[in-house]
Formats: sequence, C-alpha cells, structure tokens
Amino acid sequence: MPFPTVVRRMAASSSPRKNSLMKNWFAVEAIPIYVIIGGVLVGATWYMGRLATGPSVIWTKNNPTPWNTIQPDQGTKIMAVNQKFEKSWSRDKL
Amino acid sequence: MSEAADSSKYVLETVGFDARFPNTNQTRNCFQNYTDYFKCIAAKGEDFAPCTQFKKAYNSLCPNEWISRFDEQRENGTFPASLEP
Repeated sequence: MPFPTVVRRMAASSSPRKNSLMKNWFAVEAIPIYVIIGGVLVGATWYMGRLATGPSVIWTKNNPTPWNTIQPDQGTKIMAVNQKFEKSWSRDKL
Repeated sequence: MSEAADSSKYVLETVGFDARFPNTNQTRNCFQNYTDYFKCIAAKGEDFAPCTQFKKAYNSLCPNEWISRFDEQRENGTFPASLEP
C-alpha cells in the first residue's frame, strides 16, 4: 500500500512548475544571480586548480622541485606579452 | 658607459632568461643557483669551470645580505636545503 503513494509523490516533485518545493525556493527573477554566482564558483575553482597544479607548489616529497622540470621553450603563463613560448608546461607528477 | 668589449677590460652581463622563473619574483632563482653552485662544487670540485655560471648567477641575483646569511647558515650547518650532489 505505501509503495504506489510514494511513487506518486516522487512523480510530483519531478515536475518543477507544480511542485511546492520549487515554488517556495526557486525564484525565476533570481536566475541572473544564479548565473553570476555559478560563474564565480566555476571561475574560482578553475583558478585555484591552476594555482595548485602550478610549478611553484610542492605537494609530495618525491617531487621536491617541480619547477626544475620546465624546459627552456615551455611557458607557464596563461598569456605572455612580448614573449613566444612554443609549448606550455604541465605537471607530470603530484 | 661601457663600450664594446675590445675597448674595455670589463664585460657587463647579467643572468639570462630562465623559463623556470619567468615572473618578477626571482627569489627562487637566487636560491636555486646558490644551491646548484654548492652541489656542483661538491660533485665536481672547486676547479670545474662550468660551476662558475651558477656562482655568477647567484651573485647577480641575490641581495648581498642574503648571500652572507646563506654562507653563515652553511657554516653553521643550518642551510635549509641539502647541498649533497
């Protein structure tokens, strides 16, 4: 007996417009804020990931000097002005 | 100022670009060259000529107070990196 009613309640919550959870908590007017906050979170995590995997950070004892793996033609910057790097460096081990 | 090398006894030069340290902060460049010089000396002896490029590099890059502090730390055995080859 309880099973069909649970299924019906779950079906109701999967239609966003009629569901009271969405009516109470999702404001259509706030979609620009959601977009901006989402963009900020994505950008912040991307940049933190970039900094964490950069050559100046030491994570483990078996890679004590990650910057020494940079070759003379490799660049580590996002954008280099007045300089040309043929390849870009990537971290090979943590 | 200094003319072409043949008219003066002194050639002025500095450290070339090092792709490992492309930014304004050259602290690690200084430290790396200092440790590399003493590792080079330990591995090849003091008269090995290619070791002098590290010595020139750290003398150009490092502030003199740092060089004397590093030298003191080496003498006291408190230098923060290993100088074994």
